[in-house]
Amino acid sequence: MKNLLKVERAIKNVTQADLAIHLGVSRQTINAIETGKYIPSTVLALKIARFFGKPVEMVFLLEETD
Amino acid sequence: MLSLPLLPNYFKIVGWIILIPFLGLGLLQMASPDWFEFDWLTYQSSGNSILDNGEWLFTLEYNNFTDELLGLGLLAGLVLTAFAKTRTEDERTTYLRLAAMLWSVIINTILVTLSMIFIYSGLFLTVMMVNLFSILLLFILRFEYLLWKDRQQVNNTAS
Repeated sequence: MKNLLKVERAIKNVTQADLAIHLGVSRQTINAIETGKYIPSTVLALKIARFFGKPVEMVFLLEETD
Repeated sequence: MLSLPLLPNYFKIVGWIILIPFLGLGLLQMASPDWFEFDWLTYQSSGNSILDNGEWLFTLEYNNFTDELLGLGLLAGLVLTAFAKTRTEDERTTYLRLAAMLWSVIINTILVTLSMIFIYSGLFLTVMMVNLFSILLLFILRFEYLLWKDRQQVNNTAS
């Protein structure tokens, strides 16, 4: 699964730390999601999408291999 | 979301404070069990205490409780350290925790298997003793390593 978290963050100009605090997770978690090391739960993915005001498919995308 | 039944975060510090000295003393005790004994933990039957009236399943003549104390202290330290929440416990931490637990069970099983094949008689008793604590110890080491690696990753991408 790919994600556009980094792009969305840049558009909204929020740091990983800010996003982490807002979502109630650690900064390491946001970093792991961004680098593709961790697939978030549906709940967290929806929360992230809501934060950026976009549908979840605009932030998280399936890949060929999924 | 899956949330595990864990102890509050401050138990982690308490756990480390108990774990480190008891681990040191435990290793010392294992290295030379006869030399390392606390005298005040010795029970010597006097023949007339309530424990000696023959109504118990066992009669205790003499025992030094140093090893019991060290074992219980070590377990307490390990359990508190292993099962206290991290400062920011979230779903990623839960994932790492469960992954570390699986890893430690697998590694522990491999170590026990190898010990069964290669270690015999009296020395195997030591293996069994170490095995009482090794799963939790391996788990803590692995879990802390995974958390450390995650923190490193953040520092690398931030700079």
